[in-house]
Amino acid sequence: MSALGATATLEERARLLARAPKPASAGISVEVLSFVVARERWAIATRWVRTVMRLTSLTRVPGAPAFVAGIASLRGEVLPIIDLRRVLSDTEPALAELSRVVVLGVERAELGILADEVLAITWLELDHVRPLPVATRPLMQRCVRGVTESAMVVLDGGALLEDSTLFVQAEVRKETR
Amino acid sequence: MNVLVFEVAGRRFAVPASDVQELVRAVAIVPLPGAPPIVEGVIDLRGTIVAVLDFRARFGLPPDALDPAQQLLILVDGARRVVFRIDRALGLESANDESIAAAAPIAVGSRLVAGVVALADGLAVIHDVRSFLDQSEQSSLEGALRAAAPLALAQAHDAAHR
Repeated sequence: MSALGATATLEERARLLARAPKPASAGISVEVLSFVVARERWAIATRWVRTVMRLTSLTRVPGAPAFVAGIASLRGEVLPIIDLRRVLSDTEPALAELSRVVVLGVERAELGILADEVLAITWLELDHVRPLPVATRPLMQRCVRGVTESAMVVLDGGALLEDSTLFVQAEVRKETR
Repeated sequence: MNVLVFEVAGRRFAVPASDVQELVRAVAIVPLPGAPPIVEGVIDLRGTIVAVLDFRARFGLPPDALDPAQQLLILVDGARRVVFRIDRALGLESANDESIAAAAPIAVGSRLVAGVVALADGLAVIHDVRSFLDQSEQSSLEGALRAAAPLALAQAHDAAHR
């Protein structure tokens, strides 16, 4: 094992060992990855998360839905990258601040979410997740499970991956290959 | 008495099994500012900051770099936990009183040694975790941990507590 590989292994183990144990409670808990986008904290169940990567390049796709920032090639896979800031509002955000991509997928990498910062892996009690207020955008309604007591927005990974508007992106993806 | 026998720098040591909390694969160790030199650093053990003590230095063994093949032996020291970085654990052995020789005749590091156990294939030095640090090391470690713990814990529990 190379020195670099050894360091990465040791750091990954340290991260795993630091994880707080699953809290004992009657309710159902899920393990989530939390991250920051647009000064908001978001969470998604780790079962949907394949990896977190640094974004090196992003190609815009003409005609794509507004919340799709573009496509990026991550380890040879071309993925649609969504920008949650555009789900929240119509303003055109600057890309430079968003340096990381939370890569989602079941069998393979399927979708990336831009993130300012990745926070932690924690346990979240589903009882503590409340539904969103009604007056939000359709995509928020479809792809968000709710909000925690500490105002963290919990994404629905399954809904994100199944969203029909992103399947349109999958077609675009094939054409660009 | 059951003892856990382990190997460091090709030598065999043992600790009473009752002092052992767990054994984990080596993880990255973070230096602890203000800690005595005998403290290698700290690890975050599920939200608790635990000091890794420099076992090799205390026993006059040659220093070595942290290696993923090594293990961390997490020991109970009163209310606290301390960690030894070891090359590998060899196993649990049961030692009866006759097979444990008193440490008194052993000159080197006798303060550290609770006894010597005769195993089927040789001797292992039984180590007393409570005597690993002297009084001044103990208090300077506690000071350094107190100073560092809020920071480290805040990091570890970021999402849950913010």
